[in-house]
Amino acid sequence: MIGVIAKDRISSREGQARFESLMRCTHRQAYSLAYRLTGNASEAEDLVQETFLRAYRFFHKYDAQLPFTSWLYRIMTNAHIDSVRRKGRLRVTSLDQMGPDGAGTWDVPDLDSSPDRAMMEEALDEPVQLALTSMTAEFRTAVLLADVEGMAYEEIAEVMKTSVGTVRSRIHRGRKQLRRFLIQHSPQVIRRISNEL
Amino acid sequence: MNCKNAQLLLSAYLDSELTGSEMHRLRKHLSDCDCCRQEETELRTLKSILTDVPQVTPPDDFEERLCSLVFAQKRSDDEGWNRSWPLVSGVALITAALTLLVMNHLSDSVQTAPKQGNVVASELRRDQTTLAGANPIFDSSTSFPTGYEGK
Repeated sequence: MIGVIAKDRISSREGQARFESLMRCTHRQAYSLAYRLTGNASEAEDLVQETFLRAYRFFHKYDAQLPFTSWLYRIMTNAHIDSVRRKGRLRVTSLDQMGPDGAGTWDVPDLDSSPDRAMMEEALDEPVQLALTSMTAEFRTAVLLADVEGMAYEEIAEVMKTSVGTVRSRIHRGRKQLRRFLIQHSPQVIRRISNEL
Repeated sequence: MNCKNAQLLLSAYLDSELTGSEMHRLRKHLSDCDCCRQEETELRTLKSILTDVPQVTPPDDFEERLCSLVFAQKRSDDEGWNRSWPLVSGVALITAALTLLVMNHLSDSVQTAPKQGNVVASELRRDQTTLAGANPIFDSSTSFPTGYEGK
């Protein structure tokens, strides 16, 4: 009996060490995806914390044959969609609405006046993030997993617990939503990239 | 393939997620249709914007805060259970004892209720003793067998 307890304790300690190592390796990537999903640093931190807490609680169910990030992203996307539904808001933001600081407008950078590449990337980021935040949660998740994380449709379907056909449709409709938003609110982003291609 | 069907496939085409036959039909359509080619270029631009979005880095102390929070929370959950299990067991025990008590009480009530056959027998006995001129209260030895006793 004592032997069994000791063995359990050892495996639990090993499990914790293994989880900690995986968490330290993947938390940056997880934070970046969480930031793109939520649109701000505070909610991104909350989402990453909730994701790793759930992951640690159910770590015994993780199949080590599969990539840890796929399993983690499944937990994160569920947590995110749960949170969006719980708060009763699908964050649809219009540039015509009140700005984030309570002022009447959003501060969208003028890309044509910033020729430096690093500055341009930084300047591109804000309108793109605003456009992402304007999308419905399911479309945003599918588009981010495909374009930012570079995942295949089958993997995304696994993460989002849906069919490949649904993923295909969400990505297509999501990109069209995104393009419509950028053309309407930040046409300079599309123009700048089109000139480069 | 018409333009509507072709445009539905464009995103998957850019992601190399079409089957061989879908790709063949779409490419054939694109070679003939300026409008869909324009749509393809625009979606390619958009994909490029998203692919190039920079990774957002967390604050410097986030990693340590995250580790502390995850393991502290787990410990607190475990300790919470260790602290509360005697209470949970106690409540379960008391509930079981009360259930047994109530069941026993119900069973006794059923057993002590007079049987209908005995009531009828007793009434018949009283009538018979009255007819025979005996007092059913003071002289029970004069009763006649009725055949209902015990039923």
